[in-house]
Order: sequence, then C-alpha cells, then structure tokens
Amino acid sequence: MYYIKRLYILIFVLYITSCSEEKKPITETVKTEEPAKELSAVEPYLPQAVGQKVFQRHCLTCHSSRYIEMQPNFPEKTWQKIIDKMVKNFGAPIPDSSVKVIVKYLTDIKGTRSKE
Amino acid sequence: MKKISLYYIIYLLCITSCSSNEQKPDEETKPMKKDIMVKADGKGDMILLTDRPANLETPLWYFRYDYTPNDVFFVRWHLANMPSQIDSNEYRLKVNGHVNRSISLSLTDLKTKFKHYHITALAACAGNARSHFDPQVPGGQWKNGAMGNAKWTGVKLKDILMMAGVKNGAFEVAFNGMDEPPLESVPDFVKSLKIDHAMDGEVMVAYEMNDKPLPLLNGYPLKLVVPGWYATYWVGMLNEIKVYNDTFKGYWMKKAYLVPKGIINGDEKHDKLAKDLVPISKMDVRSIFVNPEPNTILKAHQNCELEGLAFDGGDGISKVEISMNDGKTWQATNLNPELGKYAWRRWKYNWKPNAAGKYTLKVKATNTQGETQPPHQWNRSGYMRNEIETLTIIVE
Repeated sequence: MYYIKRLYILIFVLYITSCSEEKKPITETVKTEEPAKELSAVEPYLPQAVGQKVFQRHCLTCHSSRYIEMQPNFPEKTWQKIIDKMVKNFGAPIPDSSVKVIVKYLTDIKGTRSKE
Repeated sequence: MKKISLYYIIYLLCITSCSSNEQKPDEETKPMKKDIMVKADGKGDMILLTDRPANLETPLWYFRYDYTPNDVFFVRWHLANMPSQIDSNEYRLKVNGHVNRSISLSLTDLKTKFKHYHITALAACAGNARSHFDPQVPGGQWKNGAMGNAKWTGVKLKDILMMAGVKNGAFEVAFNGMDEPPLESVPDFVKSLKIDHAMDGEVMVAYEMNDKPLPLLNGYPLKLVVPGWYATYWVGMLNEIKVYNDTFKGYWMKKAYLVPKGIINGDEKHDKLAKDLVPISKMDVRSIFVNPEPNTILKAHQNCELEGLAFDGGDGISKVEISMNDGKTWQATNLNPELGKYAWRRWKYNWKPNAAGKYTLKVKATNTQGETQPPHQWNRSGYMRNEIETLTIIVE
C-alpha cells in the first residue's frame, strides 16, 4: 500500500513538471506580472508631443488611442496614408491643417526613427 | 496488475514530458512586445489589442484544446457603438429585400420553427498573425490568437431564406449586425455572400457555440457562420439579412477586406502591389506551433511532444511536416483524427534533441488539393498569413 502511495506521488511530481499535459492550470499561461485589468479600466497611453491635443480632438470619437499604441513604428508616408483613409473612406471631419499636425505627431511618437 | 498500469502511466508521462517551461528572450530576434492581459464582461483573461472597440486575442496556450472555450474565444469589432446588453425576448432577425415576404424572427422562432443544425468550424480572422508580416503592415497587430475552433448550433441560412422565399433573380445576400458607426460618415459593417453560397446548406445562423449561448462580445445572440471562409463574414449580433438582385455595393465588400485577384494566399510584392483586388474569401492552408511556446528551453536527450494545428478552407489537411534544421529536411507529423472538414486538425511530433544548441523548427501543412505553404508571403493589408511558421527552441 505504501509502495502504491509513493508511486502516486511520483506520478504527481512528473505530472506537474511536464510541459505537455492536457490541462495545465490557467495561471501558468499568463506571462505577465500584473493581473488582468478590467477592459473598461484600460487607459491607453500615448507619449506627449506637439499635436497630441489635435490628435485627441479628431481621432478619439471612433476609437481609443490604443489603436495607435498597438501599431509598430511606421514611416511618415504610412501615417499619411492611414490618416487619408480615415478622412476619405470614413469621413473623419479633420481639416487639412490638422491632418498635417496629426501625421507629424504620429511620426514623432511612432515613426520608424523614433525610439518608442 | 495495478502496479503495471501505474508504471505505464509513469512511462506515458515521461515520454510526453519536455523538461522545462522556462523561457528567455531571444536576443537575435526583435524584442517581443509584452502582452497586456484584460478581462472583459463575460470573458476570461485575454490579450488586449484594443479596448474601444474591443479586439481581444486568445492566449496561445488555449489552442491545446480541440474546442476553444467561449470565454477566451477571440473578439473582433470594427465599430465602437454596440449594445452592452441585449433583451433576448425583444431581439428580432429581419429578412427582407428581394424576397416574397419580409419576415421578422424571434430567438424562439429560430429555435422552434426550424430544423437544428450543427457544424464544427474554425473561425479565423482575415488578419490573424498580421504582426508576423515582414515588412510590417498597419492594422490589428494579432499574433496567432485571432482564431478559434467551435461547435456551432443554429439554423441553416438556406432554411431561413426559404421561409422568406427568395425571388427569381436574387444575386447576393447581405448581413448586418447591431454594431453601429460612431459617426454617420463611417460605413456600417455589412458583409455579403453570393446567393448560391448563402443557399449551400452549410452557411448558418448560430445561436450557440460549444453548446452555450454566444458571449455578448462574440456576437450574442446570433452569428453568421460561413464555414471555410474568413471570419470577417461571420457577422455577429446579426439582426438583418437582405437579399439583393444585383451586386451589393457596401464599403466593407468593395473597399475593405480585399486581396490580390487569383492568388491563392493573397501574396503580393511590396515593391510591386497587385492592381486587381477582390473580396477575401476562402481560407488558405496554414499550420502553426502551439507547444512548446517560442524560446522555451528544453533539455537534450529528453523527449518532448511538439504539437500544433493545421487548417484550410475545408478541402482537408493531408499532411503536416516538421523540420528541425531550418527547412533542410522534413519529417511527417502524426495527425489527430479529424474534428470536421472545416475544423482545425491537430498534429503531434515526438522529438528528442540529441545535442544542446539553438534549433530553428519549421512546420508546413499540405491539403488534399496539394496546396501548401510558401517560405515567404506578404500583402499590404496583412491578410491570409500562411508563410511557413518558424519556432526557435533552445536545447541545453
């Protein structure tokens, strides 16, 4: 009986050190130190730079700034294309002068030469 | 006897064990962005893409289940104005346009007046794995978690259309959900299918996934299921089906979700973009690694069971091959039984690395039509990713 018990312990130890068991505790899968936030409490962060206010005024009606935060860095011409699409395809009411400011802001914080 | 079976269990555990789950960053590859985990109403912990509208990714680990649990099934919305709750008694699905009689169906109607239908199918976002494209492209920066496999229960679209009576000359059927644009100038998210596809007896309106009502963020109470086609067509919170006697001209069919015409995996060159574009449709053939995860450290001379998934647009996966030497030689993996022709297929491979070092593993699938995966694939929108997947493993 004692022998069987030892075997079960051995099985248990092998089980918890195995990487391909069928059902690993879910907590192990989350590779972040912080616990998950409520989605409604998410506060996307974009660095301050010239044009941030203009960006906020014109872009955040339809989506949060997380749409920018998630993107890789792009060259200015890519950001220009993205804003043009927002204006032409989605009718974002952004005056031409503000388009320039927004493109510059996005290139500053998420440009290919930015360290962000 | 009992002793023997216990030894057998120990043996099985040993051969399936990979020594370590430890991970360390790979200095030679670009730094991986740390995942931000969030919990939305009715959902479990998921990877945040965006908060408004909500776009959430399934952590890779869950792909070790045949069926992706509802509470971590990926979430993808285009338009931020959507109901935060839905009264199931008041909900109606309208069917109108080029039909003999417009109808309005309650959820009870759908559950009691029609024959129930089930299908197991993979829902995969057109832009799944967009973050892997090189050069990088704008859009939702998904890793591999913008997909999930589920059993869908509901009603055949054909049966719904037959109740309304499709008139002669019907050409396309358009599908709209309750999500709405925050600005009037933003086109409402409406998708369409050709009438023959809509009537094929496989496209369905689902009210359950994995035998439970859909979570709100997955399109409760009704979702269009288009087996084998990208999930952009799987309209959630579906409340209007409209039949057209000519081409449907909505933005999301004519301007968005377009891929190079006649190219099976939507490939194009970034210095020579395709001129003819068509709406995205059937899924191409693809395979991924699920376990171990990238940069896992394994021990030499120990068995590790590698596993992953393969899928296509419904022709069926015929083989999945794996390479341990950056594609120089390939070995066949073992395929699990089919879960359905539109479901993903699980593959496994028992690997015992003989020496320490860094290994570049690759996996590629081939389907029954002989279609396979290329060493490189790219397009401007980051759709239909099916480049051969690479996994870096360190063996100590």
